[in-house]
Amino acid sequence: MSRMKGPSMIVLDPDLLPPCKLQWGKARAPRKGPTRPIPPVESTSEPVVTPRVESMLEVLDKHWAPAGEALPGPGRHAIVRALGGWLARDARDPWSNGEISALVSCLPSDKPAERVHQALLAAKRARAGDITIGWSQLSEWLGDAATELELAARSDWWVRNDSRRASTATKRRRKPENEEDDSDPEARAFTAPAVSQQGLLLILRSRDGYVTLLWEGDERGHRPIADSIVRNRIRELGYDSYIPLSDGSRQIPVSRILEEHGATYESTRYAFTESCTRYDPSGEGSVTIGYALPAIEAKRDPEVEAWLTALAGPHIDRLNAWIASCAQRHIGKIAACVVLVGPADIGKSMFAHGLCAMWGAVGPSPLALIIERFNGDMLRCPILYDEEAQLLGSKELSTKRLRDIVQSRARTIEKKGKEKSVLLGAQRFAVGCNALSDIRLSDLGGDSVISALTDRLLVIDATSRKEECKAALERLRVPGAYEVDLRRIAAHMAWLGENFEVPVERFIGGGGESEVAILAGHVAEYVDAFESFREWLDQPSPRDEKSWLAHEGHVYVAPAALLERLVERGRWDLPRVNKALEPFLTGDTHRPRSKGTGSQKRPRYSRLDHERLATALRLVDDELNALVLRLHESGA
Amino acid sequence: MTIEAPAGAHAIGPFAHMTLYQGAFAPVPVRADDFDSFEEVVDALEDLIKLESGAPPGSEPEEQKKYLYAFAPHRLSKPYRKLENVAEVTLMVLDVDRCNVDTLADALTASDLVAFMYASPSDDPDGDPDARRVRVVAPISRPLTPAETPDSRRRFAELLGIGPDQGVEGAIDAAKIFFCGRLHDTPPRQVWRFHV
Repeated sequence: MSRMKGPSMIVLDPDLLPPCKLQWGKARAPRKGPTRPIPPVESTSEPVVTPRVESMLEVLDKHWAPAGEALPGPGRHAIVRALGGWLARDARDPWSNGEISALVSCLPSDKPAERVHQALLAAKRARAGDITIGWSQLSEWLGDAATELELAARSDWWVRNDSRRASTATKRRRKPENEEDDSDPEARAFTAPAVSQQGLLLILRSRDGYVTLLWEGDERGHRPIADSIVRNRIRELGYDSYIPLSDGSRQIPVSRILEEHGATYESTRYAFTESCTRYDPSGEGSVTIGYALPAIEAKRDPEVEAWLTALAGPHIDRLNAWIASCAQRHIGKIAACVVLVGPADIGKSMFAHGLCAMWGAVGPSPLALIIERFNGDMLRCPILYDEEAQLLGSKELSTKRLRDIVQSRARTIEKKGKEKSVLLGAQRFAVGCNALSDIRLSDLGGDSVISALTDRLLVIDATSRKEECKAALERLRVPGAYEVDLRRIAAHMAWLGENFEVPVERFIGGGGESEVAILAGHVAEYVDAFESFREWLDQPSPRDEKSWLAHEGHVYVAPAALLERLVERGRWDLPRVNKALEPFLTGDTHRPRSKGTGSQKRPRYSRLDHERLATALRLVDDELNALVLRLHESGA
Repeated sequence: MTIEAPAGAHAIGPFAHMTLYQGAFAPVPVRADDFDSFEEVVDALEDLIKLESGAPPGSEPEEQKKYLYAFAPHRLSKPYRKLENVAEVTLMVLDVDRCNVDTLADALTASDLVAFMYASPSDDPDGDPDARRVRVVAPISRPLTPAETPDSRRRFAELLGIGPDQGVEGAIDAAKIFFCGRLHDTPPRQVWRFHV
């Protein structure tokens, strides 16, 4: 022994310890089997069926063979022993003999009593520390599905406490910085010993490596995380007490952390309707990633209300309903696409940013993502915004596609180089533009198409309320800055989400000045054709009279004659003329009686919906009076 | 039997190493630390001994025991507790299940050994005085190999007057862990320092 610090303090020197004189038992030789006989176990343990026994049977049922048939892999004998050993010393919550007995006796076998005996014997040896068989055998037998066993084996008590522990970790993470935190990293592991996380799957990884998820407490469930920051996040959440990040002096690589503390699952879905990410181990395992929204204090703000009222004008109720539908509790419902029309500085973009703030997103994703292949940015939040109608004014979007995306409650997400996943929940589309005619769709059809689109759009033309909007926004500015206080807007929108009653309708908010907007863009595109109509109303030439006709109170057009008129003005052909007229055609035709013979026969005229035409052309004053007069004279 | 050691109060070399586990069945350590002096070891142990079980109050004692910290004086080659992963044992620790603490304390005092003793979580201070449960921790002049650990523990036990029927054999090999802390509704565990 070494003498330290004076004659009375000695450090033990093992080399100088005297040999044993007493008769000590021999130490157990590990990995060489038991050195003392294991008494036989009576297989009379009363079976006790607990919920976890049922869960375990459900999992094993998928892999077990009927009595009389060989069990694939190592065989019944080995698996039953492995089950007994593993369940008896399972780190998460050891099973009682009664539970093991109930489980094994329910597994189909031609000699169930012997199997129960084998399992209980293995359990006894495992508890005594004499055997370590169990998990490795089961893992080899079941492969990836072995994870299901781990989950099924946990008792309700464990599940509850895992959640409680994880919740505590989340709260600790959210502790404000100014609040005193006595858990410095060095001392943290030596503070209150909490319920172990060993039973909880802290890390999940999709089979294709698309998503890695870390458990972040009851309120958020598993949250997606990049592999590169797994170590940081584990530390931030306080999980480094359970997941070692270093091996002595060396850091443990992320790949090893994932391998040792993670489980895999097959499919990934994103759901705007869910506030918590959930893992379902059934089958191949699936994860539904939810969105935990930031805590925004929902508050009615009269000044934000004034701005929205100025922006929406007579459509304020529709707009409020639409805003309310953007709240998470309504996001499963489908809503119209909002089109805000007006000059700069009335808050069109601010409107979209306010909605995104409700979802904790910095800004909206571009609407163009709906036609792009790689659309992973859509996962940020359900608000998609089309600035200056870059998509809706580009003619790259067909009416069919627009109708489809507005009514869709699920869509496929693809990130470059990654497997596809599914996004559940309706999205919210908003468009900002300067004029009604900015909306141009590629295949605007007849009456039914326009009706369908009208239902799916909420067009608000705020052009005439420009000054009111600007004045209202002025009052929302941050003192001393040009920027508007986005938090106030988000708070008021959140208040609408909580308090405004969303009407029961197919597309929330649909209507407004939608038809005008849809047709205005169309008219602007085929302006020459409709200029000819205006000329016919104003000072008709003989050639205009040949193209247009008022008959029995209706307006008719002869496409072939109109083509003759239009070819002088540009590159026109008959299909293009028909395309221009299509939204206004009613399907009725009229062929006036011929005054001559042969080549002098009058052409066939197609009837137009003159009210829709007048709306689209925004006929007022003289032009509208001229139309009424012509219809009157035609014998209406 | 005594050898003069170099100067340096209580220094126990760079090899004192404690590995901490949470619960008897958790083979992966929650942390591992090197200590420069035995005082630091004792301070850390006293902190751990003050802690209550992490299991909910009212749980069965066996359930509570699962949520106690446990330490082992070994250094692992891989972060998984099993005998073949133990590289060395850096402190002498005895688990004594049936003893008289006064007698044992007298033996430690008389030996002049630097040591620390604490009552185990399942110790009943009001029970049979000859059936107390304690752990003895002492610094050693060099680390032990896993193979020599059991015999060294037996020899040390005999040196203190502890025999084969007093539970030392229950935690004799190098992979064994030693619980510390206390169960709910039990008084603070007693600790004894010897020349520390």
